[in-house]
Amino acid sequence: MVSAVDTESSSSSSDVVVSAQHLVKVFRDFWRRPKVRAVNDVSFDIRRGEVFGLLGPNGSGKSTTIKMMLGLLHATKGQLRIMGRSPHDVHTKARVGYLPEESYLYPYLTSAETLHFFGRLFDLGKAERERRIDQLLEMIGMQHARHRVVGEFSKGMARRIGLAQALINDPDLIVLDEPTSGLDPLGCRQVKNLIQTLARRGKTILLSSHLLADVEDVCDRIAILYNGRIRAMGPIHELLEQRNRFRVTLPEELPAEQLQSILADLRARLADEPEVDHPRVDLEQFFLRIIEQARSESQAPSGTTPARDIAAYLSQDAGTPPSVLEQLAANQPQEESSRPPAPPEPEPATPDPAVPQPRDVNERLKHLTSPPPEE
Amino acid sequence: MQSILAIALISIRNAIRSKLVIVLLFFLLITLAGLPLTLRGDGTAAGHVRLMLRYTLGLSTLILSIATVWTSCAAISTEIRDRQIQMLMSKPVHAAQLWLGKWLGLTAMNAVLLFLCASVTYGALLWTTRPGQLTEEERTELTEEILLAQRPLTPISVPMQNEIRQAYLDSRQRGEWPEEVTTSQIMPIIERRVRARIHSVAPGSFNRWTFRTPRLTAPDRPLLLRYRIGASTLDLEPIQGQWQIGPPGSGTRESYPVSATPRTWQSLLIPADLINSDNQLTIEFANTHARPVTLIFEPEDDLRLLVYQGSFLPNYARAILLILLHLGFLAAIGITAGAWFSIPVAAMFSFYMLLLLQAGRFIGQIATREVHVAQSPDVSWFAETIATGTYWIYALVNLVIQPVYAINPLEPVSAGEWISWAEVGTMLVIRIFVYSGLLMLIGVWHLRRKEVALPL
Repeated sequence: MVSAVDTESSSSSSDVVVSAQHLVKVFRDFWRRPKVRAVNDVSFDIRRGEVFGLLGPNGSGKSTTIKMMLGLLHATKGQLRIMGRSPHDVHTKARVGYLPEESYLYPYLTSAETLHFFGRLFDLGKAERERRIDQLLEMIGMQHARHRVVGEFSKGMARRIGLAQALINDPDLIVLDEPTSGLDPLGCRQVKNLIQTLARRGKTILLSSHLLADVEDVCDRIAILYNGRIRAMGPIHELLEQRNRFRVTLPEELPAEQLQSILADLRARLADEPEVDHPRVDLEQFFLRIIEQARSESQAPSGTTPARDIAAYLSQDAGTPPSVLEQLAANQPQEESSRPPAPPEPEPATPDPAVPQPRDVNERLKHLTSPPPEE
Repeated sequence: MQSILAIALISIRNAIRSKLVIVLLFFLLITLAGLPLTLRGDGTAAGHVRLMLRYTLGLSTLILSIATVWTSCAAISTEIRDRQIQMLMSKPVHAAQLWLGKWLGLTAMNAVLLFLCASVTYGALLWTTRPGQLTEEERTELTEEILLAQRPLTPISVPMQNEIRQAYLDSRQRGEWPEEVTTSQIMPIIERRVRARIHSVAPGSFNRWTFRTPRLTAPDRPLLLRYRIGASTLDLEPIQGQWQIGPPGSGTRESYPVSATPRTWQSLLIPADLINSDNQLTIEFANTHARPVTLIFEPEDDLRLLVYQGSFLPNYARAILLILLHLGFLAAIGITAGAWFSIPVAAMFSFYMLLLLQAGRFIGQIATREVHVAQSPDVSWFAETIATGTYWIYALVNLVIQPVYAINPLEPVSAGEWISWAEVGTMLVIRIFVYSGLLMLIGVWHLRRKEVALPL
């Protein structure tokens, strides 16, 4: 087991949004005999503004842990505090947004009615609900399906409505159980961007997934669960980084003789043969570029329309402008600089030279999701 | 409050999507449209109106009761089954708000449906009794006997203790009972005999009863004596007799000859000025039947003096309110049962409760009678224990259901008998505030403990 269980001793307790200590959940049979120990001595803290990922295979205890956090299941042992209170406290629940693993919505309600219903559970006034629903539907690209009943939706569309209802109360803690399940790659990217944006706005996010790429893209810290126990936990870059190995990226268009010379020099200095290969583009980036190219040539797909800016009401730090994609674009260089430089992209998908190419993923996404040019 | 209303609305929308409810509503429609046109009572206008009120509205109430039990059982249990409850309970919704929202939604839906049923029935009643449809005499009979609200009075009870005691001593002296039969076993039988003797009218004699009347709200309106003659004969030939009504020995008494088939209800209009200055009305029945037949009047069942108290429509509205309270109570049972069990189990439990409520009078009769197990070597201790245990179960069930048991309000309203606001208020307190409140507490307690996201 990787012993990266950090205690966050330096952070003040007021910064801890979720505190789970020695959590145990035993499911019992009809006769109250212990049947399954779904969660076994799990401890973790989640701090304010953090994106925390619960990672694990099916049946590892992710959803059970989440449901205990929401008061839907009772812990057999251990202590669980959400924002310093019991998870069963209605005041706690007023500050939590939850997207379950399946969107358990009322199939006969329209999108707007669904969001109104959940808005009313938070005692939001009609005008405020209308305002938030407009922004949320716009944000998830479902404005056109405002009056369509949820029962007619594809899984991806229902998922988007599920996500919108999780945000209707402008929650401080957002619990997302498999948020990208059922979404196409575009939708996945949008949701991941949204998670990052929400985190920037001070929201604390707990993400449960078995899709490793999702977790890697957005989480600050992760806990890997297996058989009800945490097997590894810590900041994602610390867990993944191999500190005793190095990768060297050479400039593009390096002449072959110069490369041979560098390799010869390396061979002379190292006992082992150095590994040399061509870098590969991330499949998601590749996919987005292909779709981008296709979009410039045709109409938008049916179903959802392109997602827009984040809902403006979702609380933000002072001084943050409301349009988040603009902010994203502005912030992107600093954001990108903290990550390893993207490898050069190979040839196969050549973008249309007539279409101006955005510089980064988020800009490209925004460009991608904008309405197609009139024919 | 907003969340309660939101849950109430969603529970209505859930309910009207249940296929069973749709089928029941279809039956309701057929009942409302078909029954008033097809009912043919005993050939009299009063009989037709009574049947229309009892059967059309009675059947509608039964259909609404079944629909209420089903929808209320499904209200929470389907949300648990379909896991929508996970979305609800992860929001700031207290279990009490969830329970109340469900109950309010179903009760509001019942109120609307019941109002529709009551309106249609009342409309059909007005239509079938409109001028031109009935003779003037029939219309007068209706307005003076059925389509009004009259307070029912029973005769002042006569002290019987001395007579019962004397009858007991006489029967012991005659050696009528074996030695091992105890006094407490004999007394109820003796009491019934004495009661029958006191209220019977021997051939060629008469008997007298006195009613204490309240302050009359309409002194010019006549009183109505409703009676039924029991006879010591199985013949159906009409009994001959005579009513003498008014203060005994005064010149203001009125005589009314009688010719009535045994065990059938009869009515007699009595002028209000026959009540004496002490607000008492004395009636005497003389047995003038040609053959020697003893006549019996059970004073609590067979003799009723009805005093005008108000018009029909408000009385009808109070009866409808009582039905609504009954449906509200059923909804409370169903919602709490649905919080504990899956739909089939909850529905079975709730229908059993409904059955117990309907059998309230029967259970009351069993539970209030003393049980005696014969002291005989033939009766094993096991049989004795079972008999005693069963009695105590009945007594316990009776203790729980008697406060909520009430006769079907359509019976008095279809007989022109008054339902007071006090009755409605009492039922509101008992059925809704006390019993439904208790059921809510049980349901909320369970919902707070329940793990709604357990693997199914």
